[in-house]
Amino acid sequence: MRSPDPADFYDVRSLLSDDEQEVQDSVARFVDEQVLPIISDCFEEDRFPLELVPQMAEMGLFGCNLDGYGCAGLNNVSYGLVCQELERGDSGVRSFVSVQNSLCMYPIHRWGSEEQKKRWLPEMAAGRLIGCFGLTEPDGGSDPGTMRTRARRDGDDWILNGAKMWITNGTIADLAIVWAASDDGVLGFVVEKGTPGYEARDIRRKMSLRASITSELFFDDVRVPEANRLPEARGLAAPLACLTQARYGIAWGAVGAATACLEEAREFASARVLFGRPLDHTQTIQRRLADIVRRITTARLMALQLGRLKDAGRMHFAQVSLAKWNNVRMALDVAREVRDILGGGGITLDHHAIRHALNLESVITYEGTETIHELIVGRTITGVAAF
Amino acid sequence: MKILVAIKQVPDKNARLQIDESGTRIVETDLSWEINESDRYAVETALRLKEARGDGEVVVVTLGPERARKAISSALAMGADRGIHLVDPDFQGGDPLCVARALAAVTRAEDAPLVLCGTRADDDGYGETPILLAGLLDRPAVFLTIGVEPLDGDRLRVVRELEAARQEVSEIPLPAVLGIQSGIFDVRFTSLKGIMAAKKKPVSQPTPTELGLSAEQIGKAGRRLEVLSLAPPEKKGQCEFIEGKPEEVAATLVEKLRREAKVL
Repeated sequence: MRSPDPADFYDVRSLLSDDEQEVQDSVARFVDEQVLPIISDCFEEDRFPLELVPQMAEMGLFGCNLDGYGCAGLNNVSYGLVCQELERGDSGVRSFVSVQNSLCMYPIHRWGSEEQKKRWLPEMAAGRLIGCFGLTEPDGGSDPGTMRTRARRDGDDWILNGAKMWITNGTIADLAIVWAASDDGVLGFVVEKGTPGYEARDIRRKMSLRASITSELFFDDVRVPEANRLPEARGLAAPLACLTQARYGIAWGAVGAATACLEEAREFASARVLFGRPLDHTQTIQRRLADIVRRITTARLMALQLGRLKDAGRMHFAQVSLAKWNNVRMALDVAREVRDILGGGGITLDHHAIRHALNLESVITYEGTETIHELIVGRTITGVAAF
Repeated sequence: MKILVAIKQVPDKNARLQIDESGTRIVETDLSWEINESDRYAVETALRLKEARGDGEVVVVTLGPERARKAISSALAMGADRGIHLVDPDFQGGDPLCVARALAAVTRAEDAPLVLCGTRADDDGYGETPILLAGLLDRPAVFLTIGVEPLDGDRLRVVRELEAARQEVSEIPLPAVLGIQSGIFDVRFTSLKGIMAAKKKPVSQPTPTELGLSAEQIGKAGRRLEVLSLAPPEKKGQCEFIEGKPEEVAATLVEKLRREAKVL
C-alpha cells in the first residue's frame, strides 16, 4: 500500500474524470510556470499581472463553465478545479477569473438578450474585454437590499447615480455590471468604459490582494441605453445568484491556497534543523502538520461534493455558504499556522504563507462574511431569517 | 501532410516506483501516469509543423493497456486530430522491436510520410523504438532532433543536438522518422476548449490482424529480450557541509561541482 499524498490525503483526485484531471493539470502547469515565478513581486509592487490575461484567455479560463459564445462549456467541478489551482498561486489571480466568469459573464449569459450575449461574451472569453461587478456600496456590503445607487428611466435610456466600493478590476474593466435600485426593483446594467459620468478609481494602501486591482466606481448622471440593461434580471435575486456562482469558486479556491501553504510548511519543516534534528521530527510540528492535513482533506471533499451537486442541478445556495465559510476559514487558519511554522522568514515574501494569509483576510470578508454565511445556514436549518 | 506521432504513457516523473514480487516489473497500482516528456515535444513539433503549413493531419498512436487511452486524450486535447490505440492484449508485453513492428504497420496503414517519436521513454529508457522503426520502414532518420523546418518539395531541414550543445543541421527527404529531443521549445498549455474538443475526436483500436501482423511478431509472444531483474538506485547518502563566508562557500561549491561531480 502506497503512503497517501499529504496534499491529497484521501486521493480525491481519483474521484475526478480524466477530463477533469486534464483541466487541473493544465491550469496547475500554468500556475507553476507563469504565476508562481512572478506573484510575490506583483504582491510587493501592488500590481495585477495583466500580462497573464492573454494566456489565461488562450487556455479558455474565462467563461469556462458556460456554453456557447466562445466559452469552453466545462462542468462545474472543472471550473472549481480551475479556481483551486489559480488560488494555489494567488487569491488575486483567482479573484480576477472569478469576477470575469461568475460575476460578469454569468449574468450576461443568464439574463442578457441574445444580442448582448453575442456582443460581449466572445470578446470577454477572449480576454479582450474585461469586466467588473458593482453591487457592494460604500455604506456596507452585507445588506445589498438597501443599495443607494439609483436607476431612473429617461425616455429610451436610464440615468444612473451612486457609487460602488471594493470592486475588483474596476479601473481596468471595459465594462461594469452595475446593480441599481429603480421603481421596478433592482435592475442590472452593463456600463461601458468611457460613458460620460462613469469613473473608476483604485483603492490604495491595501495590505491584502495586492496582486489584484480593487476600485471604487462613481456614477454621476450616467446615461445608459435600454439596450445595455440585462432584460431578464429582476430584483435582488439576480445579483445574489451571481454571488452564489462566485462563492462556489471561492470554496474551491481556498483549498488551493491552503495546499500551497501545506507544501511550503512540509518542505521547510523537513529542511530546518533545530535542537539537532529536523523540525518535522518533533511531535509539536507533526501534530500541527497532521491537523493542517485533516482540515484541508475535509475542505477538499466538501468542495468536490458541492461541485457534484451543482453539476447535478441540486446545489442549494446554503450549501455554497457552508463551503465558502468552512473552506476560507480553514485556509486562513492554515495560512496563519504555516506562517508561524516558518518562523521569522515566514513574514517575508520569500515564502508564500504570509501572502496567502493576507489575501485570505479579504477572501473571508468578501462574497459574504463568515457571519452572513452562518446566518444563511442558520436560516436554512430553522426556517427563520435572523437578519 | 499527415504526421504520425508515437507517444507512450509513462509513470508520473515524481512517482515513487516500487518493484513487484517478480523483481522484473514496477507496481502499477495507485500510480499516476502522463505522456512521456520527449513524446510531448514530439506532439508539439507535429502541431507546429501543421500550423506552419496551414494544412495536414496530426495522428497520435500509442501502444499500451486501457489506461493509455488517457495519453491519447491528452494529445488530442493539445490539438492532435485523431488517435490510434493499440490496446489489443496481443500487442502488450513486447520488447522495443515488437513495438517498432506494430508502429511500422500503423505507419504503412496510415501512409504517413513523417513519423515523430520522443527520443526515449522516461520509464524503461531503451531509446530504441524510433531507430528500429526507421530501419523497418527503410527510412532516413534523425534522432535528438531539436529543430524541424519544412522545405519545398517534401524535404525537411533538421537540427540535431550533439554533445556539449553542438548542433548539426541536415536536410532529409520524406518519408522519414524523427526522434524529438525534449526541452527544445515551450510545449503549449492545453486549452480547456481543447479538452472538450478532444472528446469528439475519433480514436481507433486496430487489431494486429487488421494491421497484417501475426501474434509472434508482437507483444509477449514476439519478445526476444527478457528482463531478469530490476533494482532501485543504491543509497549512497553523503552530505557535506561547506563552511565559510558566502563567497568562499560559493567558490568551493563551484569547484566541487566542476572537479568532483563533473556537472559544470
